[in-house]
Amino acid sequence: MSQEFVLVPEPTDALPIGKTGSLLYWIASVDHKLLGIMYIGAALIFFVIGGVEALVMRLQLGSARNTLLSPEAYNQLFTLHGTTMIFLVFVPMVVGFGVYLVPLQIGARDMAFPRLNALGFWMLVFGGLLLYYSIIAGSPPDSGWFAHAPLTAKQYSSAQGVDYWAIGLLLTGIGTTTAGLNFIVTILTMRAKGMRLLQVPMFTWIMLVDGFLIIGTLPPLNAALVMLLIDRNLGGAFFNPQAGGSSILYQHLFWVFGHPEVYLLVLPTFGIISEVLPVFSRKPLFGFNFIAGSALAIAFLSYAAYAHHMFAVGLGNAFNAFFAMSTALIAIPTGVKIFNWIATIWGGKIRFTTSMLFAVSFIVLFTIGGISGVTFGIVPTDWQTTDSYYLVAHFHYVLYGGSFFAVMSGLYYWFPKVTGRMLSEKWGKWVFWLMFAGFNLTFFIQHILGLMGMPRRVYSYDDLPNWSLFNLISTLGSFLLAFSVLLFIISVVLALVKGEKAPDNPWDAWTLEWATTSPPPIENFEQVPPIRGRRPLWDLQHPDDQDWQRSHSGEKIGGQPHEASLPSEHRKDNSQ
Amino acid sequence: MFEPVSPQGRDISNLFILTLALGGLVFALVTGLVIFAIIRANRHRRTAGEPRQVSGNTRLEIAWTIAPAVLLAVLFVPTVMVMFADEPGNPKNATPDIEIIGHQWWWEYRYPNAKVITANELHIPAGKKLLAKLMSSDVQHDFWVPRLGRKMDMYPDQINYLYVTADIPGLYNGNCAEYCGAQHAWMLIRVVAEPQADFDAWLAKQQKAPGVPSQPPAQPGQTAGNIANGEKIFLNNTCINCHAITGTTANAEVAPNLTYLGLRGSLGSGIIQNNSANLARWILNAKAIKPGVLMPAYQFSTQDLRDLVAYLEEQK
Repeated sequence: MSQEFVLVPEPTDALPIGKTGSLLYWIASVDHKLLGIMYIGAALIFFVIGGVEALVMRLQLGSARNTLLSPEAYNQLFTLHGTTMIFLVFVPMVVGFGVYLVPLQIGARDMAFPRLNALGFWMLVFGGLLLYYSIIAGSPPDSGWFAHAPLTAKQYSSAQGVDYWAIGLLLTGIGTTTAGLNFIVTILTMRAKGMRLLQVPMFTWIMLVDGFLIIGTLPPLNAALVMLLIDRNLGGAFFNPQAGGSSILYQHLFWVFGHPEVYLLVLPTFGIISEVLPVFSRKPLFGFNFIAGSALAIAFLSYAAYAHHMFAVGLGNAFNAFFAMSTALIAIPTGVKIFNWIATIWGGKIRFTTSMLFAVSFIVLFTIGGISGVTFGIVPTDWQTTDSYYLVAHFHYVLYGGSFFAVMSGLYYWFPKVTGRMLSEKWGKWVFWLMFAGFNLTFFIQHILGLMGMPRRVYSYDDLPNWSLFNLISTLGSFLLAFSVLLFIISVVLALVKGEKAPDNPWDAWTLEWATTSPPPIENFEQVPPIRGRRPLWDLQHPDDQDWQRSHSGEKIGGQPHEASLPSEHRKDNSQ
Repeated sequence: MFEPVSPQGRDISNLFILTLALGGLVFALVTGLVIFAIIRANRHRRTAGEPRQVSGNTRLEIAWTIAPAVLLAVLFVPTVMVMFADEPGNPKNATPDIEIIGHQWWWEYRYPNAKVITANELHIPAGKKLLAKLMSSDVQHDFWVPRLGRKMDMYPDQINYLYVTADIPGLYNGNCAEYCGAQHAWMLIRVVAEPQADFDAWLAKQQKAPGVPSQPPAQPGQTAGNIANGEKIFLNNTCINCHAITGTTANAEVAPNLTYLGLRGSLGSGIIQNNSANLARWILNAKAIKPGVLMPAYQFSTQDLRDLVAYLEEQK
């Protein structure tokens, strides 16, 4: 093997670091791996909190006219649940995956701006703490996670909850924006020598797109939050109709953030799926360029499609028709991905690890969420289904059955790399099947409840035929779901305490993070294998059958690697 | 789907079924392919070595980019047709048949031609396409009666219009569909669609002042309330700061208009049935029944309460 390894440049600044494992070691760390672990850990803690909130809500809804919770308590719970799950679970989760994996996948030692990375994480944590401090202060927010005006105006929400909500989100929003910037610069400038932009792993490519989405998406929210704070505390009137403001302006500002936000959260999970499916099918990702392009298309179109959250506002047919069209357009790149993933596993040798089970079920569950999503793009059917339990079911299929299953897949996939320990596959299968059953039991029936006329965000409902029964089924499902999460947490703890030691590349995967030890050393790599394609470790193991020597259909084409794809020293090698 | 009773509702229902059918096909295709891929992979599991390293097929990929585009274009045509057929838009110069005003947490209904104001129970003539003007007095609400068709938001700073039709007489239930604060859950809508003659009679009655209803014959074993005294209690208390009854000095519009309250099926926007015992409970402490409601608690002697309830309930 005459393949030369590429040296990884060392950082010029020394990184401040305490004794390994000490509190200072974690708090003062600017290492992307520790920050990635802390992001994901924070997300999991908030996930448990948000999950418990959901369980209490499901208890209240278990029967008609239940009096377990007061309406105020219920309204605070769904506000905290939505805000937590979106801003304090999904955002840190996908950012955490990105922060941990991007430098490893591109053969770098850290993110481009390590200190900014730490700042972003701590702003998110403190934003979350501020949100939850509102409980101690006596008035949690109760305006829903999108807090439409004018309900948030001082005369309708006189307590401080909305202010805690707005300032908390402002902090997390600024933190996340810095992470987006960091992804862009890291991926554009810190790739290992020889790795072209379109040769990065799909997850990293998607984090690049996501970086742009983040820095385009969060500023409108931050602006709306500042305007809301001015309205509430300085006597402004941006959103106050009685003083000449516009309540609908808030909706535009929120949803021009809110819709791209959904893709901001979903795209990285597409990236996770695009890493997991090939490895456990023993084939390259099918149609890399199409998937990469569709991620770009989704990012652009998500801004053009935002107002499909506003079809019931009464903005007129011309307005609605435009956004119906753009919403239909965004379904196309999403469909492309689904079919590319199926083609990836098609003809492969599938290994059903827990990670793969979650990834394959993601395809099916996300498709359900996508199809029910189309009924919101068709304006007249949106007029019936929006703001009902059908909508609640839809976005849980997208965000839980879709994205969170992908996150679970990613957690099982990268856990050995991150911790150096294997998660129990035996427990994993239980976690998967219980979560799959619990999830569908909880949320599928909510489609039907919505079509029967149950609106979202009601703490109580009349005893109409089947309403209690269907809600009870959903409640039982939610406890099954919670039980599966509990099993998962226990299995993580067991793995950390006495799990089997993980080899460097337990899944026989092909991207650079698997070229280093498990867990990776502080500097990640001394050197990485030469990069001539998207699967450097495959090329290393199969010197006679490297990716660049094959056509799309898998035929050998022989010949030399594309000159431009090689670092200069390799060009010299090959010409000899 | 939705068991629609209006042309608008049927349009939406048909479109929904079409969307669902096409979506069902896509779902069957995706799931079928996934399952088939798994079965095939299982068959080849014992073969040695790595599978063929296929990494793409441009023609196939273009095909499955275009196919959903065609599917969506097909759906887009009926979408736009239904949109334009069923959305009144913002009709200038048209007098609405009804005005619907959302309040935290009750509904005000006005019949501008007949100059009638009522609350929480919307009466409409069956089989007529009515134009409704939607407004809000405070925060955002949304008028949604699934069997009649679409929902429509209501704003304090924007007027919206909606067609309201029920072809078949009957009682149709709905809810406020946009979160509007503490009691969003109990902002139920009751639409009573009745034959034209019945509706006309109802409307004519609403135009007349109920005056002091005649005392009903006393039931054995029950103490009847004194209706004339009940009216005095109503007019001499702070009831009239918020409520109105046609033909009296009470004309405030802050809370539900109580004219002919006895005709309505429910109290508190649907949270309890309308009967004398419930009304008495409501007056004494509405917040115990509907936490967060803006109506304060009242203290009346048993007899005064009985008189007041009789005055309100006998207006029918």
